[in-house]
Amino acid sequence: MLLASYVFYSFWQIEFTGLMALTTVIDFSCGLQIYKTTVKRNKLIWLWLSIGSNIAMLFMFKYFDFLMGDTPIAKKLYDSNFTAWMIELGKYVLPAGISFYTFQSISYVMDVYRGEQVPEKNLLRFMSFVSFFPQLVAGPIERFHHLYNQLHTKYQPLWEDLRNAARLLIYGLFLKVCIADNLAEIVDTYYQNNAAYTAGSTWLATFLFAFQVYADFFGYSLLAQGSALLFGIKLMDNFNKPYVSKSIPEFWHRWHISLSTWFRDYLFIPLGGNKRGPLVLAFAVMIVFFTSGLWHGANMTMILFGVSQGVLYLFDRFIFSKIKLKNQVWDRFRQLKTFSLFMITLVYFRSSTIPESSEVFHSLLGDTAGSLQLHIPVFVLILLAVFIILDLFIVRERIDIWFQKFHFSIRWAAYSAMILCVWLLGGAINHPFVYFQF
Amino acid sequence: MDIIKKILWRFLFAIGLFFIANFFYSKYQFPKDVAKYSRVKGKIDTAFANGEIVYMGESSNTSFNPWTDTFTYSISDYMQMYLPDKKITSITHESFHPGLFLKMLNLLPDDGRKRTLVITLNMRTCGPSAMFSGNEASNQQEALFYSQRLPLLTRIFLSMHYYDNKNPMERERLKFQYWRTRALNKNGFENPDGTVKKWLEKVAYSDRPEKWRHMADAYIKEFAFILDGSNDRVQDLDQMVKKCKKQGVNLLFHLLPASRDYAQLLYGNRLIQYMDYNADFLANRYSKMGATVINNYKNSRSVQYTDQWYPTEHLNAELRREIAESICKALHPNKLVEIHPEVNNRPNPEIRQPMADTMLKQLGIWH
Repeated sequence: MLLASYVFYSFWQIEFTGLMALTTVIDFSCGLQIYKTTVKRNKLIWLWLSIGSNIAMLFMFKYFDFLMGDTPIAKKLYDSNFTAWMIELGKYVLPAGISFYTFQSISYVMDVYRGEQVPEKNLLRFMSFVSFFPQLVAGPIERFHHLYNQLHTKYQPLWEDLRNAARLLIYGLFLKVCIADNLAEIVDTYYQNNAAYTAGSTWLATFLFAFQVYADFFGYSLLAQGSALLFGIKLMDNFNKPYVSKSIPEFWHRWHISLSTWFRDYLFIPLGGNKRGPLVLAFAVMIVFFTSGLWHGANMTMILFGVSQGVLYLFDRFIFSKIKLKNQVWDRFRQLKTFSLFMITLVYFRSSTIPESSEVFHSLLGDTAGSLQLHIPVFVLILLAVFIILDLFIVRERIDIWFQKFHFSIRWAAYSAMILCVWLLGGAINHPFVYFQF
Repeated sequence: MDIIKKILWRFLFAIGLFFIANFFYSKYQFPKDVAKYSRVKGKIDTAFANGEIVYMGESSNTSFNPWTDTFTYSISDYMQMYLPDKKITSITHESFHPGLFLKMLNLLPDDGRKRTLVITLNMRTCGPSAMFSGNEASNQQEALFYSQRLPLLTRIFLSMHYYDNKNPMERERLKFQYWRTRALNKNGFENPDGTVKKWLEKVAYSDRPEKWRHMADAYIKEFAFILDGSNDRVQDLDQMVKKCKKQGVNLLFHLLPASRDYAQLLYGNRLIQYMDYNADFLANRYSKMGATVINNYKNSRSVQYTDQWYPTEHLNAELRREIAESICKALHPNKLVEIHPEVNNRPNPEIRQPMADTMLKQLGIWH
């Protein structure tokens, strides 16, 4: 499995395997040292060495260009072939999954530091945990205790696992290839020339992007789960119908769950969490969302995306949640409010620059001179409508699980239809998974 | 055993589904997808089906000079005028290159007919700027259709983006890496800057006027490289020669002119040495491999280029005609007729083409 994972990763860019190996070895050694030493200060030094090395990697490959730009230091580093190589890699092709596997590795060292985890003594086994290929490039960010035991249990292929894996793979592919990629073509068309479109088209593009990013990342997570299940390994669920959430705090319990829980356990709670009064809570929330924004991308728009989520979170937590009404209409209103607010803040997520996002916001408010209309092909509209109706309004569980309730013939017809859609209606323009860039 | 049986059963179902879907897809949707995603495929099929001589090239074939060209005939049009007895067809599109020509050969019909392929050999397409161009992914996507595989399989490859689909940023990185790491001081060349990156830095920080810096920057990026057998495009050309030999196709390469005058004026011998070397490399390599090579590399003057401030092979009518004549002479030396093309363009006499050499010479800022 270790070899397969490294071979898989090397297809992307062979140089990056060395980087991943280096991170893994450092964290493995730090974990052992933390466990061995009994002096608390030394434990802390090893912990910070591990965190520092991971942050240094992220800084060099992900944030260097954003933070250093054209400063004299950057120019100096660019003169050396070795550092120029790193800067170029970071600037143009971020090492795939660096934000995911560094977080996974940090969580292990933190658990060892807290005494919640006995360190692994076999380097190769630890490497297989960090590099497990189905979830390596875009999560879910797994915890050591959950993944490790499964990885090192003797594999016995079960029909149930294979069947579920096939189900996840078909549904995941359908979401990515048919929904996300086709929506991406429309959204990209809008963002290539956003100033030329009407306010209605801007609303439409913003709405479609919300479903593009959802189908894209949810689809990827299902593919990761399905691939892992082929080897008998059950990865955690990363999504749980986020667009039916009634509040932003609830939304973040349902969206990218592995990242949200990571931030909760390793940043929010250490910063004070919700036990030390509203001020500490507000501070911790804003730090978490600021970091989350920065984690998503080395860009001011991503930071604003994170900060806006933090503000909305606090708004819901301190103001909206005080209104205690128990009726269906109120619940639907809250759901609509949560979805709409998240959808609007996604403008930051999608825009490449602040001026671009400002233009889009102005256009949403009707302040645009554009006259072009955005069009959706009929088949995309049908696919999206079916997905929204089923996922948001009818089915309580995941759609592929819901299918299990039906007769064999209906199930097979549904899966065959999905396969045919993937074959025949896939988006033609290449849109890498949105979360690959993180 | 039970699992294998269950998998096999479902696998067979999927195969059956695939062939049924392929039947309907080929019949009703594939032609529409070809028209939508690979606009050139139809032209390729027609050109191969009808042409005795098939001209394959890029924008150099059809581009003309709107200021001065009285004739807008392409190189292949002129060839048809020179050889009226031969049916000449063309497959040309901007940014085409040997890698794509090689894939197009998959569509050559196996009908036993004798064909001649005239392939444009553009030195610049073998350099990093062209090889790592941001447009390449769309070329490669179109090229999915240059194949005889089952139509539905092509559609699946399209949906899954199963082609060289590196994004523009990744290609940009590869280009910068090439410029940073490839030495310009090998094979007997002397270059005080050592790499393109250093050379470009010197240009960027030089105190010369902006016009000169922009032009010098573009010429260095396009021409400062050293070809060898490991170059991807050279390997494509090698394979093309082998494939044509195997299929009994007569292959002729014509090496396009490059704007040596401007390279000379910008940098004296320093840049020209690479251009001359690469031109010789291509001409010699493919002559030795048995293809006919028409070498027009040095047959141009700066005034004959449509783009004056940036190196392209967009040539005026005079040069396009000369190239066509040289190709036809090599193909059928005794069959050429005298041509008197009719005027098919009315250039605006009020507009004068801004010539880089005149302007820069006036400013006294040449090398």
